[in-house]
Amino acid sequence: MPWRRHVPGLLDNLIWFILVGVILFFATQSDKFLTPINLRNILAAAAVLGVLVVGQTFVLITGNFDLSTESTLGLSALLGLWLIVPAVAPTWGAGLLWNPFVSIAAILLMGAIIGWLIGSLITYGRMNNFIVTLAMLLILRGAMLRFTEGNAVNGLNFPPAQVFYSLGSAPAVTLPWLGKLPVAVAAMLLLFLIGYVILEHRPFGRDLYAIGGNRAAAVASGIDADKRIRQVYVLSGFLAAFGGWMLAGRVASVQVDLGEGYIFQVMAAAVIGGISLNGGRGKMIGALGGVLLLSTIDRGLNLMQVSVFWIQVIQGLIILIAMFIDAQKVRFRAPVVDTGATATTAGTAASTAPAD
Amino acid sequence: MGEPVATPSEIVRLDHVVKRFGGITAVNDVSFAVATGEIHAVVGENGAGKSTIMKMLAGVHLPDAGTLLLRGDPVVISDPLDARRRGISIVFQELNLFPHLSVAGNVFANRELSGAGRLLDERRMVAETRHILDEMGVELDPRTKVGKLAVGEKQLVEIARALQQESDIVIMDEPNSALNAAESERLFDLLRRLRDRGITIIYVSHRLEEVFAIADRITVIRDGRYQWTRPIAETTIPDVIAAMIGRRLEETFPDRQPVDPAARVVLEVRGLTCPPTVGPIDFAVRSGEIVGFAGLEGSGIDETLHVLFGLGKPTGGDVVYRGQEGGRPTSPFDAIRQGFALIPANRREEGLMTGWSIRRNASLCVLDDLLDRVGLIDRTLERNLADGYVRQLSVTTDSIDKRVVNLSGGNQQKVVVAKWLATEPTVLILNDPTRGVDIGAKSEIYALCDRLARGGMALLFTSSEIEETLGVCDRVLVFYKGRIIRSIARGEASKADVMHWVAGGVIPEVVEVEVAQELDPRLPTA
Repeated sequence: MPWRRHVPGLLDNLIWFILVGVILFFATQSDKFLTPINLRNILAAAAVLGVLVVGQTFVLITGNFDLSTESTLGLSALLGLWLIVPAVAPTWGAGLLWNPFVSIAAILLMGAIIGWLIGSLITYGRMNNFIVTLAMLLILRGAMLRFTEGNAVNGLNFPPAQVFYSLGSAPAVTLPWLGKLPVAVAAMLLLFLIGYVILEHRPFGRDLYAIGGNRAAAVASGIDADKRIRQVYVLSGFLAAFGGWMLAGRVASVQVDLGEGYIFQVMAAAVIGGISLNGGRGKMIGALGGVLLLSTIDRGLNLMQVSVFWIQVIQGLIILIAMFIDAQKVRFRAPVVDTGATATTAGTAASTAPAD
Repeated sequence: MGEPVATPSEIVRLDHVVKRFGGITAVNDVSFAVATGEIHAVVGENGAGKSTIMKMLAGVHLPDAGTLLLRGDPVVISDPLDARRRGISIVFQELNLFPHLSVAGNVFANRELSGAGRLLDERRMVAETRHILDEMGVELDPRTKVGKLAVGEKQLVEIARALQQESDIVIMDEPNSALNAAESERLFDLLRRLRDRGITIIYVSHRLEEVFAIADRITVIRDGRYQWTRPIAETTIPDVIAAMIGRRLEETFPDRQPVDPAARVVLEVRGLTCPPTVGPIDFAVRSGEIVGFAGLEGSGIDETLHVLFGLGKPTGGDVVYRGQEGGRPTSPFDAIRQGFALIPANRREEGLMTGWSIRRNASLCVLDDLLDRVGLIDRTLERNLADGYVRQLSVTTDSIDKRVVNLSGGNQQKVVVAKWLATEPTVLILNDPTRGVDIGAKSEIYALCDRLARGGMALLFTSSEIEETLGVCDRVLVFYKGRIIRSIARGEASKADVMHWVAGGVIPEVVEVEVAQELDPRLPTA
């Protein structure tokens, strides 16, 4: 059947067809949907999520998870403001009054260090990545509470905190019709572009696919898998901190639960975008599609005034559908794989069967 | 090729059985019979088709032609469960046990006894397992976790499982590959007692000393074809070896010029030790030389190659690489940088990214040399690299973007070779490079080895087929229990000689004597 050959390719890019379909659907449901301000909102809402997904994609490609990013994000946002604002009400900072640029450098560095720590525990410590990052998710959230003793940190009326807003909400480029896009959106798109180039065109990216695809073969090919895994966690931690800077700029006041629950969205976007949780498979561009689709649906359902409970149900359904599509990819590839597998088994059995 | 020996009470008969995989015929028109209550050995070289035959009996494969008869009736054994229902159990060489379950849990796996309220009746399973083990004369606590047992004990658990299922045909597939002498003797003892109880045992092996110690009759398979079946008393080890080797489809080995004795020594190994399997060993390889390793599984060859490639950690000794002391590679990355390349034995697990294209596989080890000015992988350079090797090695494919999983075994192996040649190694290690490769591609690989050596590369070569090692190499080092016990120059020894040496230097005459005296249990089985 010739059409079967095109099925995997179609399924790989299905996300974009779905995205267009979803946009058309919402456009018919609400005349507020296809407006510049609404589309800007969708992109703005996608920015922080997107930054986290870029980092997560690197980790997932190697066949690992990073569940800790939302806590790294929260802690970074909070710490960043906390270091620069006065200790008294209503700001509730540390009273250190750090230069905001220094503070931002500090949180980015902290994110990278957290990532390196996680990567080290997993590689040197031979610990399970899921559990290590789950533990870090809790530990970092706990650390936030400790720093602030439960108070929200407020940078709203404190001029030096403006540096945060410059990333989070300042306009970057003005596009015809769409209007002024925030710096955050431009930064997110740029990060996806960089991520794409690294994954597709740098030896580093090849190494990650190799590690996720067949670790034993990757190591036997001279790839230092442990080092690469530490590096992707550093990237993920760094980007989580960057996302924290971005989010702090949007919300101005940081509660201790900032970023909580993000991880579900991050995983959902990656999976919907075709990133395999088994590692070795998926494209950065697909992950971007996943991010856009999630925030489009979120916004669209809001416009339609669908109950918040239903929104969660629908998001869950989308994840299931994405997994279903992913499973079909494997199935449609199966005939091809089978021929190869038979051929190799045949050769093995006939000449020097290892079982003989 | 005579007709099988007729016996009054056949329990199993193969009648013109054929099994093909793809274009290759693994089992070709095989007919023979196994008598009720005998220990029937099936021997043959690696790849002769022994395991495939057993897998047909165990319901893993269906014959493409011919008939299996069980107790005189033609049967179709559709799957392993069906085989078990018909009283056939197979003890695979790669043990199929659950390490986290107890002995009893394994014996009753998938056939658990349940008591009141459909809960598992642990006590009854333990009691019955104990009963079976007692009958076997085995002292083993049924509650021990199988993961904690020695290999020999695990094998006993597998047999207990077969007995619990009341199998009257037990197939042992290379049961001794991992057993020590005492364990082997215990196993033999048990097999004899089972036979005396009327259980038929089909014993697959290529270790002839063992077979002569235990079997009643012996069937020889060669190149997928039946040779003969004889009572053990009417044959000898040299007979069997002759039948196993036979006159095979000649693979063409290239002629080798003598290695220039003045050629530079590129690799010298001194006292390399990697317990418990290797060493200390010493050898040296000159530029342009092909050095072969011959030995049985467990003789330390795999481990030696791994250590040289930085995949294993030796405890002692030196590797002198290109005259540089202390160059013992610490990781594959390091080994590659020092100029080593390893073509691994299991190409699908370690050699290739099977889901990747030829292009991406070929370039994986040398990506850093294929960058353009801004540091990105230059697609043109990458394509040229892959194209060049596809042509040089005549890989049969319509495109370098084809996924390697869709290539034949021989072409897959060529992609592995391409990947490593791309690193321009000084020392190329080939671990069983022709496994799962058709004859044509085999000859190409031999010719390639010759060509590379002529170009000055040093090659370390090992194969599961001894005549291949003899045919390709300038010098063959015989490994036995982690030591190099002999060095043979090209043409100096026959395959039969080497087969004896790899088994520990036991010569046929000696074995015959020992067989007569109920085989010495200390005979090497390594």
